[in-house]
Amino acid sequence: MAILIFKLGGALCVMIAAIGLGESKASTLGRRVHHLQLFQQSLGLLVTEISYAHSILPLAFQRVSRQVASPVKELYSRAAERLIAGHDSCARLAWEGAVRQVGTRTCYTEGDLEVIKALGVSLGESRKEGQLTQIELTAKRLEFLLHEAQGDRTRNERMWRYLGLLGGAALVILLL
Amino acid sequence: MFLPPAIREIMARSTLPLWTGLEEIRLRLNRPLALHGPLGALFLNPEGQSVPAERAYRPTREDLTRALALISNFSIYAFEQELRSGYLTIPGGHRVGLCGRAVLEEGKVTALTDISGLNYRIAQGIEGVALPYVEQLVIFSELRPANTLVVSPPGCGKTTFLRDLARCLSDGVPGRGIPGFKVAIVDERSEIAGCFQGLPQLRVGNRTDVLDACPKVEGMMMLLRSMAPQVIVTDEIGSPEDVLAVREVIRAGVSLVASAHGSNLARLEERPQLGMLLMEKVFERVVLLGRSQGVGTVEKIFDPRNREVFYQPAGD
Repeated sequence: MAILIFKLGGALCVMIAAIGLGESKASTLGRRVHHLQLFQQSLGLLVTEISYAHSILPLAFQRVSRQVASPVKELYSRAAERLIAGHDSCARLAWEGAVRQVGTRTCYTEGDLEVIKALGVSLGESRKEGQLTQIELTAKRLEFLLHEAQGDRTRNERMWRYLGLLGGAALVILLL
Repeated sequence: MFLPPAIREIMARSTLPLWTGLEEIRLRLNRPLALHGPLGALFLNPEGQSVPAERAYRPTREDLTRALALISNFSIYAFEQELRSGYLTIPGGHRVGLCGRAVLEEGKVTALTDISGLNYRIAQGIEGVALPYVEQLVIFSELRPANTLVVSPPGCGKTTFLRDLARCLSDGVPGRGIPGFKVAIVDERSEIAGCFQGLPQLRVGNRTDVLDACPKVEGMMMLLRSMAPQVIVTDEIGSPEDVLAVREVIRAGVSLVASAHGSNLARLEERPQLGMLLMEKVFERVVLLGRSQGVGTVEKIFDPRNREVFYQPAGD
């Protein structure tokens, strides 16, 4: 009797772990979409700051960071901190540094991070039209990534959930 | 803080009193680093020692790029207008002049690229230069500042005098029966108040409003309509449009304090627009500045309408 209870307990643990793993994989897909949408939203705010408010870059970053949710919030606030501290010789390096620091805590893929990093190229170094073109280019590339991420989510979210559940069940059968 | 690290380090290494009375730091691409101040022009080597030009440190493209990033706060786009004008104002009211390749569109400069030279002009913000003369520049019977024209050749302290006069009129001089007036400054080239992000970096008085980087004519009209000033202060008048705006200001019952290039009244009268204003007896006081006792010496204060002299140093 005690052995049976022990086995059932073990099986339950395996099932919970497998379902959790599947759920985590599935939610990563959803969060990637959400994080990309947040970054897309932040680009609109950045355009407003540069185009209409004529805010200097550290201030523009601070203002954007106040208006978006995590983790994009941290991305902008870290970039602003780096610019204000003056350790980086140009805005590109400050932005890339912030992406490196914050990127690991997000659900962005390597490809997403490359696009986000590319926003920093010539950031603050050209006239307004140049800045807006750069942001627009990033927004377009982001649109493509978002489309891809949404496709991934539709295709694979349910699959990961089932995989977690069925994988757990299979493991339990094998172990029992 | 607004100098590129290499230059900062050179200046930090120097044992010379570089910062005392420093007027200019000139960074020219691949040409000797030069400082201008009370010691004259100095060329510095990487150790911060004063050396002949051929042994001096030569700023690199990296230095200039870094300097531009620092003075623009990594935001060239936010200073397009200033870059077109060829200068930027930084905290402290210091101005950085820029040289490079001008980009033209329809004959007008739209941008400055390939920056090849920067000139950091250190704002001195000398206070008290106008204080001894304020009484001569107020019409006590009407208790208002006189319409005043400050005249001097370039580099004789016109802007410094204007700024200090604005401060004195704004804060008043209680001991001498001069109340504080509502002063408005049209600071087209950000020289009078040295504004950085709209905030005056130099003392211009507690009752002073500053319209920064705004064309004079438009600025005078805007201030007249919106800020109800008692005095409008502006720099370097002389164009036909300026004359129209000056007339408008005077007609509105607002006093005007302005400056103009010139060495004496006769020269001023020869200039068509200023000559016209003098003929119309718009100005009630002319302050002539010179260098006879050093930069910014007040050589004479007089009423151009009847040549009555209010101040002239003894012996002149």
